[in-house]
Order: sequence, then C-alpha cells, then structure tokens
Amino acid sequence: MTDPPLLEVDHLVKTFAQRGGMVQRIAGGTGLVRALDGVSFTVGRGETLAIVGESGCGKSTLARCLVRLHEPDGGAIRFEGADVLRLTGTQRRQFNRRLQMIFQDPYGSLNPRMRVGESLGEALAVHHLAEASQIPARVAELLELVSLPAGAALRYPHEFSGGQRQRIGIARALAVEPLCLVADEPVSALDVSVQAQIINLFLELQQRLDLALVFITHDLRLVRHIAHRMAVMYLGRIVEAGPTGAIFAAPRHPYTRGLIAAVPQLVPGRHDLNEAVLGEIPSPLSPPKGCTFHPRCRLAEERCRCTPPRLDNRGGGWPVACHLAGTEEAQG
Amino acid sequence: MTDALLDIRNLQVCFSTDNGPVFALNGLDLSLRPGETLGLVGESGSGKSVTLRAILRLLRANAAVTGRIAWRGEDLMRASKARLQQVRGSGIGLIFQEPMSALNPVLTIGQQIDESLVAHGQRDRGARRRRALELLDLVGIPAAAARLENYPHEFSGGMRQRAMIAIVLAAEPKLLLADEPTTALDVTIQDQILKLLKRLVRDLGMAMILVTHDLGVVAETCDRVLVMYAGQVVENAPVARLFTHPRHAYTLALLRSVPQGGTARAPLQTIPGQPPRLDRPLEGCAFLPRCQYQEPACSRGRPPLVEIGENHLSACLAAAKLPPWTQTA
Repeated sequence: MTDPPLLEVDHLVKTFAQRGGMVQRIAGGTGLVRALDGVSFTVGRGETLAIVGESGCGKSTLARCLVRLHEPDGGAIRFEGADVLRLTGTQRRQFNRRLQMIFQDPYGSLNPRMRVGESLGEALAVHHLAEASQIPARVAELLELVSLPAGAALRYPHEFSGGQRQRIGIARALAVEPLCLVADEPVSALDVSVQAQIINLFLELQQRLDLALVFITHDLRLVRHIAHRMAVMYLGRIVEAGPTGAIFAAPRHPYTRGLIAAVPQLVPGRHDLNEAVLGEIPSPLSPPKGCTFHPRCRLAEERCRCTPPRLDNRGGGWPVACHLAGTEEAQG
Repeated sequence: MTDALLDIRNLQVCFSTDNGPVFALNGLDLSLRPGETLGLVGESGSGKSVTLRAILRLLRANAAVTGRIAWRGEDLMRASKARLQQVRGSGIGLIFQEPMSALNPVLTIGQQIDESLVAHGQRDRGARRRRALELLDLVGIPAAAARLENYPHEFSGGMRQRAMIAIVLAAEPKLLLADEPTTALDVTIQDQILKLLKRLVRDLGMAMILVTHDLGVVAETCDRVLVMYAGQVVENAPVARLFTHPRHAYTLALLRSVPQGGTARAPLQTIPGQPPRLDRPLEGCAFLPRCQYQEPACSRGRPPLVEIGENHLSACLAAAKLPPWTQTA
C-alpha cells in the first residue's frame, strides 16, 4: 500500500505550430514540432528528479507545461492524485501554490519596481497566507530561510548580485508553501562558487521542508550531485530514466553514455580517450525516422533506422529506449 | 625568455567610468611558447577576457593600458594602427563565445572567408575558393561547397563556431585567442569543438590562449593554466601539476566547489563572501577576506607570484601549508 506519487506525468504531448517557415512548408515538412512526445515520469515527496538534455530536447517546454504556462495537447498531469489539467477556480489556485517554478534568470521574474519585501508580501497576500499585520514577520522568516539579511526586504532586485537574486527567487517560490519546486536551469548563469551556494540551499531546503524538486538542467555534474533519479530527454522523448548513481555507473543508452563522456573532468588528458558524439541534434520539424538518435549513434543498425524503440526495461534495472540495450552490441 | 611567442609584463588595465576608475587588470605577467596552449581560468570579473582584448589592443578608449606586450619580440604597445591591423588576423586570431555577434549576418560564410583571404593577400579568385572549401573541410563542416553559400543564421550554434574558426584560420594566425568558445554550446557540441581546436593547434602548429570559467575545459584542453582572481594571476602551473597539487588557496577553493561524483547530495564546498570590488586599488592579497588559510602577513602588501616548484608559480603565502586536494572521481 504505497501512497500515489506527489507528481505524476503521463504521456504528456505538446505540439507547436511552426509559423512562417515558407521554405519548410514547400519542402514538405509538417510544420509541427512535437516538443513533448509522450513524456511520463513520477516524483515523490522529498525527492529530486533531474530532467537532463541539450537545447531543443523539450525540457523547458516540460517545465512550462508542469506549471501550466503551456497547455499540453495530450496526456495527463496528476498532483496528489488530482488531474491538474481539469482543475478550475479555487482548486487550480491551490495547485498553483503547491507547485512553484524557479527560473534561470530571477531578474526576469521579479518586478524591478517592487522592493523585495513587497514582492514576497504580495505572494502571501494573494494566497491569503498571512494577515497584513503578520506579513513583515513572515517576509523576514523567508529571507532568513534563504540566508539573506533582513534588510534585503527594503531593497530593489537590481541591488543584488546574481546569486542573491536567485535566493530571492527561491524565497518568493517558498512564500506560498509549495510541495514541489520546478527549477529550470536555476544556477546556469552563476559562477561556480556561487552555484555551489545555491545548490546547497536547495539541498538544505529540500530536507527541512520535504520538498519535491524537478531539476531541469544541461549540467550533468549537478545532476549527479543533486538528483535521486534522472531522466534523459532527446527530441521530446525520454530515452533513459532511472537512479542517478546507477545510470552514471553504467549508462544504457548510447546518448546518455555520450553525454556523460562529454562532460569535462578535472583530469588532464582524459579528453583524448573518448570519441565525441557524432553530429548535431536534427531539426525537430523533421525528426529522423526510427530511433531519433540513430543519425548520431555509432552503434546504429538497420532496425534503428526503421522502428522507434519503446522505453522499456529490456532486461535491466531501469527503462531505456534503445533497441541495442541489454544486448552485447551496446556494451561499447 | 627570448623564444617566447608572446610575452606580457606587468599589464595593467584601468577603465574610467562615470562611477570612477575600475582596476580590471592589476599587473599580469604571461609568457607563451610557440605551439603551447594556455588556459586563463577564473570567475566573472577576474580579468580573463580583458586580457585577450588588451593583447589585440581592442579595448575602448576609456581603458588606460600600461605594461609591455611583446609579440615575437615586438612591443605591441608601441605599434602603429596599421601594424596592429596586420597583427590582428594574420598574427593573432580571435574567436568569441557568441559567433553570431562576430559574424556579418548579411554576408554568406563563403564571402566572409573570402574577405579574410583577400586581406591576407591571396589575389587569385579560384585559389581563394579552393582554400575556402579546404578550410570548411578542415573545421568539419560537411557539404562544404553548399555551405559556402549559406548565411550565418542558417547554421546551428556549433556550425557557426566552426565557421568562425574557419574565417580566423584563413589568415593563418600563429596564435589563436579563444574567449569562452564553447560556453554557449551544448555539452556534446562543446566536446566536438574542443577536440577540433586541439587538433587544429597541433596540426597547424599554432599556440592558443583559451579563456574559460570551466576548470574541466582547462584540464582537458590546455598545457598550462593561469588562475586569475581580481585582475591578477594567482597561480601559474602545468595542468598536470595544477589539478594534482593546487598551491593557491583560491585555486583549491575553486576546485573544491566543483561537484564531484562520489559525494552525492553532500553539501558542496562554497567560497564564502564575494570577489573584491575593483573600484579601488587592492591592498594585500585580493582573496584574503574569503580565505580560510590566511596568515597575518597576507594583509601586508600584495603577495608576489613566486616559483614554488618546477614551472609552478603561486602568489599565496600559505602555499606550503595548504592541504592536498583529493579528487573523488
């Protein structure tokens, strides 16, 4: 008798129409981009799931669908068992509060003409989380939670450094007492020493508040450090998903292997040992037939060019979408 | 000393701004041998990009530059505009983080390579076209003949960076300056471009200065590394040495803050505080307020960059007592 997962995403589909694109239309492209093509995963309370992939893999679209900045075209999102896409009125507001998004550039999500205290207070007031008289005290609590001085409440966003602004973004998200944070590249714009501070803050807050965290990033070093489980996306699909440690130890999909090998290590000379992943991500307007990764895969064979592989356990401990997984060929 | 391709002594750059002076570079020494790849690594504001621009004298008029920049024995600080123009390109080539801002959007890649070849004195049109095709091939752009007719916006980010490299190579530089050339790229494309740069440097016998904030990129690409902090070089060592025996408190702190495998979900080591403000001259060691190994002497004047081992320089008074750095791979 296990509880249902906090967040459950089931065969999510999001399609964008290509605008303009005369050349593509004449060339016979469909003009549709399937940014998400049947994405499924779950996240439990207090758990971190990393969504990892390169530009154009659909990870940011996924984040935006989760907080309903985009309406998905198919599939379901369930939060505490409720079908999120059908929520209306009070229930929808309640959900908005429970699932909060943190953006890469907090500057873009903070009102530049509001003092930090006002921004935080507004979130509390909108959701009726504090009486007007209690708001200053609660704001001070929030600032302390993210290790900012209480005086920060009276200052404007532009007066802070990038790392401090990200702390404000996190405080703002936490103001409404969420159960789950969706963080889209939250530290990519920061220097490495500041990155470490923010990552530590996430780890600490998660433990204190039992937060679920969907951590969207292209940085595999962070994934390895912060995530319990990870899902690797390629052209709108999850190609491998499982426990982070196990995947890093023995990645099953050739793309995952290529990604991990491509991360620069602090080891001089290691670079020469691995071969780079071939080519570049193809246009999502006309994705390759069969396995969408096959043009870049050194192991691709005939069936990879014809039949799309299903995301399946294939005799291993976690699902992978590769025809060769579990066979001898894939042990390359 | 005499065989250095590039030799920089006591380079200082100070910008005058509406809010007063900014001391961006505070006495940088750098020496580069032919064929050597040097990494400049540091965080935002450490002066690494300013260094590259100062070498090519590309800084704006509000920058006061002093010091000596010797390019194959010739002092670029005294060079005429015409001479500088010659050195830029045919002597020293520069590639940027964002090739889209360096490429001309209304000229095809072929035209831009052609411009570079003309400037380099190639008069024969047929020979230029053959050379352009060779160059695209050299940087790994497939279907070169068709790609010559494409505009920059028709290229992906990785292909644009390759095209940028081809244009720079057209002038056959002896030294390549690369300013965060892979920072805007995906990790698999970064891997491809770094391997390409490494191969080109080796095959064409060029030297390279690679500016990056990523210690991993330095480890995998460079022969020697200069760690920069607040407009100063704080450590200078061969990569094999730096990544096993860092001997500056800042280098050690920086290495420790990179997430490593094997310590999953443990708190990362952070560097407390902020880099110093650069709007006033620094007294003592610039890293002092954030340093956990400081000694009383650290506040008495700036620690000099001294040789502490073979080919290994450090500006840290605590160099000898720093704990070893252990990597958990």
